[in-house]
Order: sequence, then structure tokens, then C-alpha cells
Amino acid sequence: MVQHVRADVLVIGGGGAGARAALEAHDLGLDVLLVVKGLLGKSGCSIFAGSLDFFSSESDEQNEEAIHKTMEFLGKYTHYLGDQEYLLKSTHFHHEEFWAWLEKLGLYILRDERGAIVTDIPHKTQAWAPKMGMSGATLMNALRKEVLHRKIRLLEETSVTALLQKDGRVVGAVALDFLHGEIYVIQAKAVVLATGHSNHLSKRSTGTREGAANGWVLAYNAGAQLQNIEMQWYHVSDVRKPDAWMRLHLYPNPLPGTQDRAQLFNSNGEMFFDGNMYPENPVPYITQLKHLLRQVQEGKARFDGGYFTSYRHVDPEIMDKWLHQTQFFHKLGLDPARDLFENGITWHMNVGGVRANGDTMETDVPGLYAAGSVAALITGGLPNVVYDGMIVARHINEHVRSQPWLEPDSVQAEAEVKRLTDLFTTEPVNGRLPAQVKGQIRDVMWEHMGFLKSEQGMQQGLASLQRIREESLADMRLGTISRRYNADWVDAVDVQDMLDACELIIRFSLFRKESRGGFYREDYPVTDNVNWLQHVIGSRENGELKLSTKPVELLYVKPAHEIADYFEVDY
Amino acid sequence: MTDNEFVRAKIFRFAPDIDDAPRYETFEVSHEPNMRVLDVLERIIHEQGQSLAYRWFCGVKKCGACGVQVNGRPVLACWEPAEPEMVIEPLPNHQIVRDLVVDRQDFDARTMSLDPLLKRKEPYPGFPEPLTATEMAPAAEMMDCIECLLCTSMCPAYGEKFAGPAALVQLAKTALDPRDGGPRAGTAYEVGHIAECVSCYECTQACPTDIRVLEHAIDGLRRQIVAQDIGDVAHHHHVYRDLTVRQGLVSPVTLMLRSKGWRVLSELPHAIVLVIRGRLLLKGLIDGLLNRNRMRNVEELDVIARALQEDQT
Repeated sequence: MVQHVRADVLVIGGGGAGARAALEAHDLGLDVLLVVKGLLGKSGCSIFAGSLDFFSSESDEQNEEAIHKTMEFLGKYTHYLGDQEYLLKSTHFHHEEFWAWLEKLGLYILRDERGAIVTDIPHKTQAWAPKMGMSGATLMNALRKEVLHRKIRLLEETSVTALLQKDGRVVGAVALDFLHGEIYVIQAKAVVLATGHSNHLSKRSTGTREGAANGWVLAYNAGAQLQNIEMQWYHVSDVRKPDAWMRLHLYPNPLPGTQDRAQLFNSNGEMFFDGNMYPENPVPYITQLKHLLRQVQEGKARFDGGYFTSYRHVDPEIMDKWLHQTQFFHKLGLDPARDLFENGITWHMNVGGVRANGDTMETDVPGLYAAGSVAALITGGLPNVVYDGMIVARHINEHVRSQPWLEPDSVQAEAEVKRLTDLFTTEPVNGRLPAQVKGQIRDVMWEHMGFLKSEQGMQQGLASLQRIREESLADMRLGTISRRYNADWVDAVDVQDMLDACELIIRFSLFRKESRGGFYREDYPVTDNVNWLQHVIGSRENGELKLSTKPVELLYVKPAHEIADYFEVDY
Repeated sequence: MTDNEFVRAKIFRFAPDIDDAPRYETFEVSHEPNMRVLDVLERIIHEQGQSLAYRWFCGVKKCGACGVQVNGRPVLACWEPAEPEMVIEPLPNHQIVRDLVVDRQDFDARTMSLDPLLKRKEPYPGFPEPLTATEMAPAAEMMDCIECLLCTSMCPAYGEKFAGPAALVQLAKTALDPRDGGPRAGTAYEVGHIAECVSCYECTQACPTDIRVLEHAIDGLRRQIVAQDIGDVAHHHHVYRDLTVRQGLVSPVTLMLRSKGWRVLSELPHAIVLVIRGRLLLKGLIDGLLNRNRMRNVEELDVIARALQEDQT
């Protein structure tokens, strides 16, 4: 039942960062094992990258200017909490290598009949591969085939449940293959966490089915530092109903071949947001969120409905030709030229994550790396996550190849195998399914840990999570002892990770006493760049969370104001 | 639909490692407007505490993982509306892992045996490469494929040899790409056994992203095979046409015999069952084998066919 395997590099996660890390490491001659909780390229965050930030520069001078503009943009995008040294490097990659890399893979960057790249007009900020809404899915389809083509060892529908250590170094992991009902003990010289955003923790989120913040918890339990995980990023214009479609995003970005962007209307039928209110910002998510908050405060919208996206002003030909989203209107019998789509907000990306070195993707724990959106360097983005995958593989190839094999601590491995085996029970017969407990946790987070937060609400959230720990964990049981696609089993592990992750998020949030970006506290409603332009950092010391701050290094860009009204600033 | 308070779903249940046989279980969940099949499955788990195996990730037609059969029709659970009465089953033509989850590894293996990675004719010239929307249109249609396997689940020719429509769409993505120079036609013929396709349009009809699987993917590959004179891709069609011209009607028995050759023997057990059940008359079988089925005015048809043939040449 327990299989033992070994690889130079264990990559955990099958999105853009994980796939790129696995491919690069394999091509450098390393022996790679890629473990994916869902299906490589079909689960995870990267398939949701619908548009790609575009730059066209004809000279080096223009490129430098464009890079400066991108840095200004990324400063705001990360609410000035991004790692600026890293941002500059990933931006150079984005401008200078990313597009050629995409095309070499066979992707088709949308062209017009004359061969020009289709962008928005006139700012040329976005491009698509080849359809708005499907760029990430198309890229991941290609990366999946690249991995299969190279016959890289791949365990799918397999969840890593614990990292294994030896004298403080991460030297492997335990994984649960719920497709076949098998447990793996994996030994590796380097472990790359590439588990993406931890957003599927609330009732409304864009996270795919399997998301449960495992990456954060794996890193935290191994002793790594987490950073800024309170900084949740929301989507405002996601579909309210049907439930299955809450991950359908109606972009506020400019649409292909036009300057037009989706508009938002409140329950009184008044328009309250148009992306073109911020013409310099092609992805005005945070400003959209601030405008919605005003509407909610005035009783003209709710976070879970009562406001609407309109494409009525957009040329129907553009809608039909270039948008994945349009067919969803038609499927419900709606006409985008006439009808609105009701929205609700969703948890989308994270600004924070596992603290990592932007040059090497190393965490504070030797042997453990964090690449892509699970890391705290930047707020996601396809170009950045594939950059991370490339960098981490190169670093491991140079520095870890000669590392001797270390046996994982056998006591730790056995304890983890026992934990998994103990969860494999259908007792008590009248107990709750793990999926139901996950639902309870998401409800608590939606209710007490939403965009609009207060000390009191968050304390109630902590208390509710504690109640779930005490009451629901005891009578949690699997629905079946089949070893074939037993999602209950992996859900049971997820419940533990989600409880840990959600408590951490709330504690981080209680610690940050200001409002910034997607993080809004009613009791501290000011953006405070004097006292809180700081990373919130947390790690486990003697079993307890220890929180501290660390100043942000503002090497290239910085906010214009010291202390600002939350609604007055556009980041 | 909005008048119905409940949705009743009769769901296929089978865990091959612990169950003796498959069974169906019926669940009722409250209905709400615009509810999808996936919402029904989710509610069965969350509201009723029923452990049910089904695969899905995104809910918005990107991952292609949630294909199931609803009332005999292959659908994406995230895409199709819930119906008041539903029988929900796993996709046919695929090995069942548990309940509604089917094996996808066979598809991966068949796809990768076709080597569906872009192989450039010319070295990559750097970004942006010269390319127009018009040139890319045929391949771009194939890029809409989310590998949901609905097409293959309906394919009557899918078997040991024929790679099936889903895998062939992956091959067509490269074959129809003006940048590609790989030996796609030969692969489609020799590895994909594309000649086995009977052009029944089931794949096109099943596709949730509106790819013309038969007309553009499979026939696109066939055209390249014909142009490069690689092999006979229209074997089934020729048999069909010849029978029509010669006999005026198509006897299923003769069609099977001509189409499959000696491999028709593998259908013998099936034929015996049909004869026992009275679905197939012995006389019909013998007439078919002896090629004795003829329409009365078949000569007329022959004249028309010849005229058509002359017209074509």
C-alpha cells in the first residue's frame, strides 16, 4: 500500500509554475517527479488567466520606458507589497522572453487578417492566446503535452499531505494518490512548492475544486515563513448564479480590438464603474472593488449579488468572435447587447504566500522552494509564474544536483502514513462527509472574513473555526472505503489544512491595522504607508504562530501619499 | 423548468473494487433557476452527505473534466441545465474508475502516440512571427478543444485501433497549422487508423465547444492523406457507395462483411445472439452473405450514379 519513490526534484503542483519547473529541470538532466492534486494543466489557477498583459516595444529605449511603466503598474498591483527586485527581473522576462516562449510552444497569439497582433485600442495593453478568457487554458494544454511527451514521471489526482525533513532540511514528502488509493513516501533532493493561490477557502471563490491552501500549510508546518497572507485579492465581476459558474469572470480589462470594457450597474440601474474611469490601468480590479464597497455601503449592491455587468455598449461581433464569456450569456438566453449578468465577488488571487528569495525561489527552509503564486513575491500572473518555474529549476540544477541523498526522518514518515490511514474510515456512520465540513469552513470565511472586516467579526470567525475543530472533526467520516477516486479521503486531509490556513489568515488580518488594496478593515479604514508599508510575516515557533513585520524595500517605485484615504488611492 | 420544485437524479453507482455490480440510486434536490447538472451533483454531496465520485475542476468550460451522460446524451455537467428527471451515467466508451469518473489515461496514451506537438517547417523567426488570422483559422478552431472526451464517448468506431475523434483533434491542431511540417497525414493513417472512421457525425454533434470534429478535424486530416496519396481513407464510404450502386440498398450484413473483411468473424457471437432474439432473420443473414438483397429498379440507380460520376470527372 505504501510506495517508496525517489527523484532529484519533487515538483508539487500542475499549473504554469509547476509545469515549467518540471520541464526546465527535466531538460537540464534532472530526474523529476511531478505531483498534481488535480490533472496537470486542467486544475489549479493558471487556466483562469484569460488575458495576457502585452507590451510592444520597437527599440531598447522604448523597452526601458515600457519596463518603467510596468513597474509603476506592478507597484500598485501588489499594493506596494511586491518584491521589487524580483518584479524588475520578471518584468524583463515578460517583455523580452515570454512572448517568444509562448509562440515557440505553438501558441497562437491572436492576429487580425493582416497579421497584426490584436490588442485593445488605443493603449495596446492586452493580448490573447487566442481568445479572451482562454489564454491560460490554451497554454496549459500545450504544457501538459510537453510534459507527457518527455515522459516526465507524473502522479495526478495525488495530493502531497506532508513534507518530510532531516535535520531541518526538506528531503521528501508523503503523498496520497486518491485515484488509486495509494500512499507514496517520496525522497527528493529538492522540493518545489508550486501549488498556486490559496483562494478556495471561502464560499465564493475562483479556486478549482481541489484547492485547499495545502501549499501554505505544508510550508508553514515545515518551518517556512508566510508573508502577507491577509492580502486577499477579489474579483468583483464574477457571475452570481448558477453556482457552477461563479468562476466565470466578466473582465473589466479592455476588450480585443476596442477601448470598450465591461461596465457595472447597481440595483437601481445606475452605472457605477467603467474600466475607462482609469484609462491608465488595464486591469482595474482594486478600483472596481473600492467602487463596489461604496455601493454596498449605500445599500445599492451586495457582495453576493444585486449588481450587474453590462456589455451592452460593446460591438456584438467582438463579443461573439473573441470572448469565451459570450456563450454563457447565450446559454441562459441572455443577449449581451440587451441584457445584464448578475455578479458577486469571489476570492481570487493572493498578494502574499510563502516567503521566497526572488533570485532563487528558496524559502527559509533548506531544500524547500516556492515558485509561482504560492510564493509571496507578486500577485500571480502567467508570465511571472512561468518565470519562477524556470528560475527555480536552474537554481536547483546548479546548487542541489550534487547534494547527497538524505533519508527522511522515518518517525515523521510513519506518523504521516498513520495519520492518512486513520482517516480512511466510514465511522461514525452518521457523521459528516469531509466535503461537508469544507463547506462549513467556507461559510465561516464568507461570513466573517470577507472583504469588509472588523476585529469583532474576525474574532467570531476564529471562534467558529474552533467550534468546527471541536465538533465536526470528531464525527467526520468518509462515504466509502473504495480505493478508487476516493475524493473523500483527500477532502479529509484538506479539512485539517483549511482550518489551519483559515486561522492563519485571520490572525495575519488581525495583525495588520490598516486598509490596503483588497484588504479593508472597517476599524482601520486608512491606507497607512507610514506604519504599515510593511510585510506581515508569520512562522511557527514552538508550535505557536509568531507574527512580526518587516519593512518593504521600495527600490524602484513607491506610493505618492504617506497616509491616504482608502477610497482616494488607486492601489 | 422553473415550476419544478425538485430535480430527481437517478445516478449510476459503481466502485469496481468493492461492489459486485453497478446500481442506480435516485436523489432529489431542490431546484433553482438556471441550475446546472454540476450544481445538482454538488448538492447531493453537500446537502445529503452522499459520497459520489465525479470529476470537475473549473465549472466554466475550461478544464473539460466534468463530462457525463445525462439521459443518454454526453454533456459537460458545468454547462448543461439540470432537467427535472435525469439519469446521470459515466461517459460510454471509457473504462469506469468509480461512479461517474472515467479513465483518461487511455486518451493521453493515444494522443501522445500521435505526437501532437508543433514541429516547425522553418526555424522560429522570433516574436511576433508572420501569421494571419485567416491562415490560422482552421488550427484555431481546434484550439477550442478542452479534451472533454464527449466526442469519443459517442464514437461507434472507437476501439482498439481507431484513436478516436478527441485524439485526432489534437493531431489536427498541428496538421492544420500553417507553421507545422510534421508527417501528420501518415500518422493519422498509420497510428490513428483514421480509415476506421465511419463519418457518422456523432463527434461533431457531441462537441460542447462547437468544433466541427468530423468535417474539419477528421476530414481535414483525410484530405491531407488523399493529397499525399498515403492510403485509402474512404474504405467504408466506397463499400457503402458500391453496395448502393450494385444493389440499390444497403444490407447491414453485406456492409459489415465488405467493410470488415475476415474480421467480421469477431462479430459472430453478436450475430448469434441477434438471431436467437429474433432481431436478425436467418434468411436475411444468408441473403446478405450471398449478396442477394437487391432493389427492383436498381438499374435506374446505376444510371444516376454513372451520370454523377461522369459529372464529377
